[in-house]
Amino acid sequence: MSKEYLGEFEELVLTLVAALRDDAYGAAIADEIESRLKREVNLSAVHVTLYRLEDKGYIKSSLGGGTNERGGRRKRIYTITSAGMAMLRALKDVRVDLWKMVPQLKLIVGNQ
Amino acid sequence: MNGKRWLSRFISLFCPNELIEEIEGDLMQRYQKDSIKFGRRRAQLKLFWNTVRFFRPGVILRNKISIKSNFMLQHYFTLAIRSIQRNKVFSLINITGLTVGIIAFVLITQYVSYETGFDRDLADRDKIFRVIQQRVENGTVTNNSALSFFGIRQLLRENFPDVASTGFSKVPVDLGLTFTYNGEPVWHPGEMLQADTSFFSVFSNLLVEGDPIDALKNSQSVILSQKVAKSIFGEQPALSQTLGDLGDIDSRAEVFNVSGVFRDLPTDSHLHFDAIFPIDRSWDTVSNYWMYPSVITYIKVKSKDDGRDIESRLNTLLAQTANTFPNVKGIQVELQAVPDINLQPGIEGDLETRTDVVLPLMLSIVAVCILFIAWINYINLETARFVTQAKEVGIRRVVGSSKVDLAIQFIVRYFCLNVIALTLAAAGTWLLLPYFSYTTGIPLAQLDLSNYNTWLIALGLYVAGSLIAGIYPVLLLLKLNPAAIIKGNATTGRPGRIRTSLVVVQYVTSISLIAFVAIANQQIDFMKLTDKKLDVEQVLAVENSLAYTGMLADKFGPFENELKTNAAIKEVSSSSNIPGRAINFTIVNEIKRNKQDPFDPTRFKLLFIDYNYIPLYDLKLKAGRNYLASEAVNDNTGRIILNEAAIHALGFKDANDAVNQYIYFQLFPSMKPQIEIVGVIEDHHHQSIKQVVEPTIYFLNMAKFQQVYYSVKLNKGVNAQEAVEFIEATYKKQFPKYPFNYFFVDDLYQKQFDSEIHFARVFGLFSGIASFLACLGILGITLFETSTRLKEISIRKVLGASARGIVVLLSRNNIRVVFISLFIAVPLAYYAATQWLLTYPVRINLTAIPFIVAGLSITLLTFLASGLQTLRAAQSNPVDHLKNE
Repeated sequence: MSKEYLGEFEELVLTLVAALRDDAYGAAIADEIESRLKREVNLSAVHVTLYRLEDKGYIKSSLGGGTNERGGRRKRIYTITSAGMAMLRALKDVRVDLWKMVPQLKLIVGNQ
Repeated sequence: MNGKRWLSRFISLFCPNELIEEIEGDLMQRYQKDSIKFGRRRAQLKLFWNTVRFFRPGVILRNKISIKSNFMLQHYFTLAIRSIQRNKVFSLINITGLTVGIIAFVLITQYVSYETGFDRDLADRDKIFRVIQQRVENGTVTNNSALSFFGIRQLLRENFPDVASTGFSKVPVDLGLTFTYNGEPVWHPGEMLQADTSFFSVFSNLLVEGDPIDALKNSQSVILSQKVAKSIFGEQPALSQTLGDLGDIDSRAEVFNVSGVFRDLPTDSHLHFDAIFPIDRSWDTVSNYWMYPSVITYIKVKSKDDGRDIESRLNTLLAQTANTFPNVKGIQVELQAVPDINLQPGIEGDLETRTDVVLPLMLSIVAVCILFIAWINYINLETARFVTQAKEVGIRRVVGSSKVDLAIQFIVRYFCLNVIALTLAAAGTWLLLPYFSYTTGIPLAQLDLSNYNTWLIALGLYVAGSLIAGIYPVLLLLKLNPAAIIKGNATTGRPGRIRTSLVVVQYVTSISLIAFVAIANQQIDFMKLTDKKLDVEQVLAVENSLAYTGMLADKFGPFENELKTNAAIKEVSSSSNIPGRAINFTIVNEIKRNKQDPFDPTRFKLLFIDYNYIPLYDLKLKAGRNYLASEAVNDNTGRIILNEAAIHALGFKDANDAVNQYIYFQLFPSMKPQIEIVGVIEDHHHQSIKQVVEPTIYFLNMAKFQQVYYSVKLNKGVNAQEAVEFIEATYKKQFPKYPFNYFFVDDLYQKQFDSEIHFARVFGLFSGIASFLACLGILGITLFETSTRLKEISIRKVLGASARGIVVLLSRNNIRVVFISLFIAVPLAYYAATQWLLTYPVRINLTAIPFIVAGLSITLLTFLASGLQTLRAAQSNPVDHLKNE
């Protein structure tokens, strides 16, 4: 795992880029965050995060098609790079490892 | 949809080009979704907010400044420098104008900050107030005085435990400090105060040695300034030294103990004094509290906002006091903050005269005007070059420059010019400040580069200059349609009109200033030449520095007699003061028709003279006679001579009515209380005619005391140098130990006009600068107009126009400008001059001449500036300009 640090919001956006695949662009990602995580997010924040991830080399972008509701403006479609995928996987592994350390007892107690 | 266009324009301002499209797209998509969800209005609001949120570092910094813009910036600088070099004349005019404008502005700022920054060194100066005592009659304030009842301090003490208050007054002597030290007489010029014990709890940071509370407790104490202490004691410690009393003015103590040393007061202090004595204890008794206004009262409050409250409570207390003490009836107080004292008009009883309060204000206005003129010049010259620049702009835009690029290009050029001008101005100010100091008569500090205010002013000048002068031409150029420019359809009509009105503003300023200076000079000449009704020519005054010692009294007789043996000397006199210097000795309620008469608040000046004073200064007697020589020999104090103002103050009808009448006047206990008026002298201007003639008593000093000045009148046509040498030799013979200080009284008298002369000089200087800048502007415009109209002129000439006709054609606009400006400037200058003249008791009648002078000189200057260009254009050979089409 690289020493690169990824913020919580960055990780979220990176995951969504991977999940949405061909439909990963600013507005769509913001929509997803709002509808799935019930979390208010500003469009500009998503954009800035995307640019930053691109700088770090975890995603790459190309211009896609425009639609009517966009006034004919093209989308910038992001796709995850292998470095990004590796990062995501590493993060997930760490989470799982850490999760295993949590005593299961608590979960049981919690469920009752 | 308009709003949306605005938003996309907003984004394009700061957003990198490659990102604009997708951001706009996302924003729109979001907007469509929102408008379904929330409705149009809320969606629009959200859109606006979402857009604005894109203005964040994560987006802005994504602009590729590092490579592209650095390169472009370099490019802009190259362009700017090339453009400055290519148009040498224009650049020179622009830089000169800006430089001169900035220098003038900075000099005036320095001056104004000096005037407004008085008493900077005083601790808590915002919290110290001076009590102004007002007399109110029928609801209007009839008198403002710095002197107040000693009882006011007592009221403050009893009712305001938080407020420190002090009362003090000037020791009314006319010359310096006199002591003996180790048996030797010592003298130092300066003023003396007598203050109560709390003086240093108000002026807390003055005392450098000694105890602030006890220093004035002992009636034999004296506190000296560092300067005086050093001159008397040298390097020895001053504290606890003993000084003997030399003056017979103060009979309280024979020996004084130095109980403290205070720091020297700088020139920008509103108070100056060199020694402080404890105030006479007898003043601090109930019976003396409300006798008459005798002290200057200062208070120090906890917070500067308390002033108003204290003022109104104090006035309530005074109203109650008036029930017991009738003298207090109609008396109110006003608290004046220390920083305001130097900026507000002087009042009665002020320790120092402040005559030119108008100057800082007027100069500030002039400073701003000059700066604006300089900026207007820039705007005018830039817009005058419009045609050639427009072409450049058109081509650049067609080739692909964005408006922002072009705007930056122009602003960079303005920046370059401005930086050059600011640098030159800084150097110029540095060089000129000493001369300006001389002109204003004020010791101005050199520019302080370590002070951040200096840099703040420089930055402010630059930013303001860029906004006012830099932006307007740019906006004008960018508004044009590139296609139209290239086709040659760009019109200069509208900017031409704006240019003309800006030139009018410049001319109005210049004409008003010139007229005002002319009027000021007229007033000064008038004041200098008005009959002052006394003769100060050929009079030399010797300052007797130890006048109050008394022990020199019998030396005057031999001194006078020996002087008179010289044929060059016409008359010799001794007096406590001489014309041209303010009489410090003031008495109140000690002279009136009868002793039983009620309190009379009139302030009488008291001048001690000998029997030669009146003929020596050629004062005219309205009635009665001069003192006789025989009266001076015997200790005979039963006679008095007054001036007309004093007669009227005492209620006599005229001089003849007053002469030989007896009045009450008792200066010393040994005097007879009823005293005869033997003579009345015509009112004359002991001080310059700026001052009102005050009621004055001319009391015989019997050649015994108060011999502060010896006036020596020389015969006409004698060698002054030889006479001075003879007088010095004689003086040294009679007073071997004392310094010989002399001056000519007419010089001293003329010095009173110094502030007016400075005023006129300063205004003359700046009106010159303003006119120079205005002419620079007209020169630039003419230069340009003639060069753009060369083709037109050539065609006219080919078709038969005469050279004269063309000069008229080209000058018509300038003449119109001059006339319009005159119409506006004359009323302005008239109003300002009337207001200024109101500050003088005697003033000139305004005539048309100053205005004509101003109008003519500005017309002349205009023709000098523009005429040569016009002539050259008119005389040029048409072929030169028509052949290359």
